[in-house]
Amino acid sequence: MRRGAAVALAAGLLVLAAPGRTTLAPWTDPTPPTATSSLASLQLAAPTLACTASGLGSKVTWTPSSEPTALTYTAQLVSPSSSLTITSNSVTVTPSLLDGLLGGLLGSTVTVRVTASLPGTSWTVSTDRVLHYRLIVAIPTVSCT
Amino acid sequence: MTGRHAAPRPTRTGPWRPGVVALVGALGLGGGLGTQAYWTDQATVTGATVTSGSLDLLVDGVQGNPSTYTWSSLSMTDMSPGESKAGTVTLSNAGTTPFTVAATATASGNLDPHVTARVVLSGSATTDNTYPRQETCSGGTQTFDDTLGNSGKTVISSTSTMAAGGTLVVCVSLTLATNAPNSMQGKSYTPVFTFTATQATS
Repeated sequence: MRRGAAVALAAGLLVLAAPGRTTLAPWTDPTPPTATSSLASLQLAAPTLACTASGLGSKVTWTPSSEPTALTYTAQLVSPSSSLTITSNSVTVTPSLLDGLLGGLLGSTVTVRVTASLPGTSWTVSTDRVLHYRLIVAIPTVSCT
Repeated sequence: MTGRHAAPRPTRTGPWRPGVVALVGALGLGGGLGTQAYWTDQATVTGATVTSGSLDLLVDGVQGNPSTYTWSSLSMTDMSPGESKAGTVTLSNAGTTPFTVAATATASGNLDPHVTARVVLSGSATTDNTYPRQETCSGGTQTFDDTLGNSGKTVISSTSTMAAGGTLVVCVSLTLATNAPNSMQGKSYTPVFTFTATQATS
């Protein structure tokens, strides 16, 4: 019994005599470096619309953007919704067109919306231009102001 | 005649008599030992200075702490869906102690859920300056490929041991998802990578 206790004590002393194996604390860099970068996503350039008289109608034009690549453009009338045909980065809204859509409702305003899209993505940006459909010298006219 | 009789004086016999003799002898010897003065000498050896080593990790040759290193080669502006940017940093052991490196990363900014980070050890970054810019990390060993989030993800669990003076190139590519919604125009993304060096124990 006494011998057993001595063996146990000796074993305990051996464990204490080799603390390095169990208490090893590796060094670490006290000031771990950090690195940062930044990304910023593109903001598509909204079309800048110009409006000029074209006969009894109005012609809305814009300069196409090629940043970051050639954008595609669509144009439409808003309320009532109707797509417009683009010709050389412009659309022309005529009284006859509005007469069919508005039923000859003179004194109304219509909104032309031009939308630029980045091909291959869902990213778009639009600009609106309000036109007036009214009588000028008793003639139905679509004007810019 | 007096008639006196003297009884014979008892004599002590038995084992204790030699013991007494031994005790006396031992005391005598002991006394002699206690009074000896041994010569001694002492010498101090100088020139054996022990200095501790150092553990120092640099990123592209700078400390990166407390000032965060600006990873310019991993930055991009006007990023469109489907585009990616790749850049490398060189980790170097500027101390005297071999170590391994682990890394975590977080990201902030609205683009975070739509940007995938890919981390490659010993990879090299390709360059693409034409839309759509699609740079990537080529070669090497990929250790991470996911979004980062803001909770701190492990992007490098552990590198192999870097000896003193050793270097390791880490390549990271960041890709904006092709299906990033329209609302992500004009937003930002800021990843932060933290590199931790730990003394090699084997």
